[in-house]
Amino acid sequence: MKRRQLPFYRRKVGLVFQDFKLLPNLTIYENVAFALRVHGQPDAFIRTRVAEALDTVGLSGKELTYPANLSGGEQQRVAIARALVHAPSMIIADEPTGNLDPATAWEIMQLFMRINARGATVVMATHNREIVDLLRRRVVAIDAGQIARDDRSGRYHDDSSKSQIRAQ
Amino acid sequence: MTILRNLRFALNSAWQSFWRNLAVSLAAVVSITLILILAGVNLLVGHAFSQVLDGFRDKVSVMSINVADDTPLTSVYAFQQQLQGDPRVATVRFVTKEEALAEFVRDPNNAVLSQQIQGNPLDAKLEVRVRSLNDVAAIDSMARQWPGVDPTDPTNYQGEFVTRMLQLSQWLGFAGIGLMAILVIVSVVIVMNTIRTAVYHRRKEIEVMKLVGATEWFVRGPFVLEGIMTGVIAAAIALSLLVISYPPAVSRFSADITFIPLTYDPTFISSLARDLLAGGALLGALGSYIGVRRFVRL
Repeated sequence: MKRRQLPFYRRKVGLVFQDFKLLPNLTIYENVAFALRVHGQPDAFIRTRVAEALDTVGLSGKELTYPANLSGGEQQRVAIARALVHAPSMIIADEPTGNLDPATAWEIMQLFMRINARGATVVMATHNREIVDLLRRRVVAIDAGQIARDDRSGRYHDDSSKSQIRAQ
Repeated sequence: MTILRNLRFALNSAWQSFWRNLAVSLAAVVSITLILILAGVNLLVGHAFSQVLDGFRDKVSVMSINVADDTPLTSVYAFQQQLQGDPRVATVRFVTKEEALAEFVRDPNNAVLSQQIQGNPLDAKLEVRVRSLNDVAAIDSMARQWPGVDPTDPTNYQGEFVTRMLQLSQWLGFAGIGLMAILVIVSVVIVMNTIRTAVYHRRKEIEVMKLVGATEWFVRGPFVLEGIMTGVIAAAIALSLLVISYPPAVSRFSADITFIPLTYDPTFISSLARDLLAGGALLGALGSYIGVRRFVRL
């Protein structure tokens, strides 16, 4: 793919990161709106879509707060709202629960399941055994850059301590 | 519509960035102002010099061909016709011995000399106005081959002076271009580093922009606009300083050095304004473009 085309490919997916990557000097509303603003969408459209996305992640009413005033789980939900505000068909999450305590991590997973139930594909990289074992979704184990295993409804295996597990 | 919205976003963000890092922005404005003042002085001096040179050019493009006393008038008229037919010649005027003497006496510089003259020692002459200075030498050699010319004092013109002035103006032109090139490089480097500071403060924002699908020009736009803003503000300051100080500088100069015919030329200001503003904007844009380049590729 050419470098020029990369931005347009990125608009088809939503990205969620372990460290949230929120902009500290923007409010929650502005952070979520940022993605659409970058795509050059009109203001009215941005307003309705951001409201919908914040409603989906359960953060309606926090629009004017800044990320520093939110808990880790709330910040990650803002990041997820930003990833799904442009209605991508796929959301890629790189260890989204890595910085969160188990209870909050589970809330985030439930949120991902709701998003998945609406039709979006969620690809997630994780080291979290409980989550993988509880969800029993498709698991692709990767070892040293190679696909080691691809189970339709798998568990977290003990065989390699350094493997990354993907659940869908 | 999308382009307009993106432009509005870029303008907002450039404006904010300019004021948020005011100290750095002002440093850049001051540096570019100084550079543009140097560039403007360079342009003004070049313009003044060509103005002066044009004045001299008008004077020295006139040469006189002295006619020997025993040359028949028909031969003089024939040569006058020949000169008039030459495409390099603008006008030819025949001045008789009597007219030459009258002109000589009329000149106040010759007041003492003209009283001591007995008879008429002056030659009749053909006054030739040559179109281009470069052709003066050719007309001169042509006149020397004409049999009717006074062999002891064939022609008068300020040829050496002319060629020296032409050489000088050429060298000054080269020096001006060299100076301009240095100024351009220095200012681009300054803008580049200013914008790089601004970019560095906002690298996280740029990273997120890129990750949610911003095109390279969307990221670059605000910084390039900020650079243009810096350049135009600097150009406006430099221009107003130059415009204010141009007339007094000229009058001071012509009062001190009277033999050089330098005059205040208000028409040059509009071309100076155009050059400085366009130059400032261009320098700002180029500096930002280079400054932000490394951070845009992600």
